[in-house]
Amino acid sequence: MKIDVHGIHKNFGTKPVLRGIDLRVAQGEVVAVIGPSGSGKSTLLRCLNLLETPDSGTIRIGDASVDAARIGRREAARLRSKTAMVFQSYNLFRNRTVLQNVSDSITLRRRASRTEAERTGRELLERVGIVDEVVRQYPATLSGGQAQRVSIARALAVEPEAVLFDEPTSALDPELVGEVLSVIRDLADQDTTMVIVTHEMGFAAEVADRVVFMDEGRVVEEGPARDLIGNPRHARTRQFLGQLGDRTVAEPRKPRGIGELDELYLESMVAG
Amino acid sequence: MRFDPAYMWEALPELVRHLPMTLLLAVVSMCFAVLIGLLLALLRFGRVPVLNQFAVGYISFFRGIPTLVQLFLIYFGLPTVIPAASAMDAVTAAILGLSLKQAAYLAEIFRAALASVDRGQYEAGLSTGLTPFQIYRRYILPQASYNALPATGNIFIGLIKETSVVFTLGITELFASAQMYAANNFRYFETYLVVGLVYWAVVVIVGFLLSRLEKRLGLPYQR
Repeated sequence: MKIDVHGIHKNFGTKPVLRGIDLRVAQGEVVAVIGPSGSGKSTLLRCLNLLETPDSGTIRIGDASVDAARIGRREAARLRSKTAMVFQSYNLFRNRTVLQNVSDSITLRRRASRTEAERTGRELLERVGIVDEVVRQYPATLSGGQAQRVSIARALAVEPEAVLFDEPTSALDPELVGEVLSVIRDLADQDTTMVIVTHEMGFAAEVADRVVFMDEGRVVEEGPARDLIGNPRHARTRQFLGQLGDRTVAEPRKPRGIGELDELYLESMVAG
Repeated sequence: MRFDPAYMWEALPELVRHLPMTLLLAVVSMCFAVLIGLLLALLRFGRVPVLNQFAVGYISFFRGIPTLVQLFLIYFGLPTVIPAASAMDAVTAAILGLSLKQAAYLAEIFRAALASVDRGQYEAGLSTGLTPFQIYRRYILPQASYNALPATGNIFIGLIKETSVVFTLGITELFASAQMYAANNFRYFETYLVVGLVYWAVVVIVGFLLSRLEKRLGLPYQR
């Protein structure tokens, strides 16, 4: 398992946001986390990168692991270095050029000389479809779609074991969503391990190997993407998907038997 | 005695000879004020326990008392309680007083400027494996500087003019030279008009340089 998260609890003040989350992601697997707003899915993602510190639970990513009860500064930095985050609002460094946004993390962490870092940066930007004329521009000049693709390149520059996406298309104009999703799709084809918090059900169904549905700080149900989105088992999942009015959501069919449930679960474990 | 514009030309070079002292006081005080102000702002912004409260108290005190009172306190008052302080010359005392005061104003400007850089960039920095120090140095502080520049420029312009109160400590800067000059020939109106115009000219030049700087630092944010 690339990512192995166990028993994550997190309160904001007295309000419980995560109530015991387990999540496992295999090498090269793409997991989509869906759920209503306030369900804790973004918080879960931010806990993986320790942008939020869980109150309890353990997180292991690659060969770095932390126990929330006692996180040292060193351990935290080590765990953080295993992943990179793509944010809803891009969060590009506004005082740096597109290329510097990508190459900075390489040079600042002394992974390579500036020339090498810039070469890597250019390659990564090319991979996300950013043309040469744009690399010397500043983020303020970019469209939302370009900005998000640059932020994906920046995440890849860290050479993370897994890329975490926090609603990567939610801030985009509808006509720009496609270009970002196609970059993520390419990454999936190249066996990049990804955890994607998303509202794009069609996309989740298409790209994710597995979908996790969260509600009120718990994982309600998880399974292979097409099964969960096309044929959810839990009433709460059906209700949520129904509200979205997504065409990929089928009408609830006959309740499945227990045997089938186990089978689905096993399937997801094997996939993972 | 009638208004005599020609006399103003005579006075000008005599007064401008003392402009360097005014500029020295303003520039050196500003440098210290920026350093102290930044430190205070970071203590406030980072909510460093105890030191944050200290910063709040500092800002309140130095914003609360008149500059003149403060200069007198340092130059005439301190040596009476700390004998060693009598070794301090008037220029040092003036720079100390002006820096400590302006720092209080700058601290609040810098704090607001730091807050104006969205936290998302800090998080993005952490998630690409950078240390908080690297993130502040490379991203947050440069952007905050740009945001703070107009207000900081105003403080500097105010400071240039405020140096005129240090004549009370016996320092011969621009305004003190005007007073002495006028006292010799009773051409008060002409002399003070000249000195006013010199301050104005300096402020206009500084204002021009500031707007150039603002334009240059603002380049990355142009659409």
